[in-house]
Amino acid sequence: MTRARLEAWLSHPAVGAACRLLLGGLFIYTGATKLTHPAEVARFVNGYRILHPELANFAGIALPWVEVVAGGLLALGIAPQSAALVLGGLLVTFMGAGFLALVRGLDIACGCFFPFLGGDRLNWMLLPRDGVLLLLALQVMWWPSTFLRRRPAAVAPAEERL
Amino acid sequence: MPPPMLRNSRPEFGGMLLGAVAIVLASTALGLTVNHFSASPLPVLVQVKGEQLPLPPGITALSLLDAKRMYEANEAPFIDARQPDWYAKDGHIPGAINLPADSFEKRFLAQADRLEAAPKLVVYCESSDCGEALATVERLKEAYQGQILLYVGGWLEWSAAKYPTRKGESP
Repeated sequence: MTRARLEAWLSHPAVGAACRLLLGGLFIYTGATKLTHPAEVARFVNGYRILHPELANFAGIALPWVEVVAGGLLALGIAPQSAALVLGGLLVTFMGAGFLALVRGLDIACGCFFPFLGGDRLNWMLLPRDGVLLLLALQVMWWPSTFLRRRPAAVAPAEERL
Repeated sequence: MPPPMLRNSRPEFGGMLLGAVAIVLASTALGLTVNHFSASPLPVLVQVKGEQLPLPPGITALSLLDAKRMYEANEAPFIDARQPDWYAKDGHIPGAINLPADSFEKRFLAQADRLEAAPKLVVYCESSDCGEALATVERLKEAYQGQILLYVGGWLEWSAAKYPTRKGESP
């Protein structure tokens, strides 16, 4: 496949909409399951032993709301690039924190998906999984689309319009 | 007039970043507001006390190795001062009695015979800068006559050292 064809495919509005709905929907779901359990989320955050314990509750309160709001904006196509940047930043943070915890040999709860159904221990699958999700975020940042179409970035300069 | 040409939009990083910061700030504010007005709001900042604080009078600090030695020799009961949820789900030092300061009376009375008979007690919480162990120590000083030792490194140091741990509500 030539580079131009690949770019045409990747920038297709349907691909953009799929990325937004998939990534946004996923974060709405994971965030919503945590919204009412800030103390539980704080415990997960603390398990990674990166953030100072004093700030664990703050993270437990704020993180689910950031996930839900950014996921919602992304799915709806409102400020999609900024929302994708927020979620991409979260994914990079999760991957970094997970990597550090794994190389230190911590046996902790992932706190990633279905966190309150139990049994989700942190393992190396976190990295490829969040890596794929990060690609979805990059697609939206690079070729932003509003609800079902690609957004015109700016009105072209006057001489081009004539 | 022909419609404006659609141009592929390369990320304009400044605007994107500004929007991202706004999203994070707004949703954090939303979360804090909801938490504030919820039926049981979570304290935003956990009250922790730095290890530079002097130990309460009469309390001896215990290092990891000392704590391990006392644990292996079964020299003193261990007291876990963390919240029951953390004690059960994250785990605890096997045999440690869960005794958070906010439910001290009930839990102390349940174990009173064993605790009062012990010449020494070892108290710990999450890490060197959690205040829970100090709060429990303050309560213990009123109810217990023996020597109180504070295992400063706490749960994080113990579990990171791969020493024995146990999960669940029972000691």
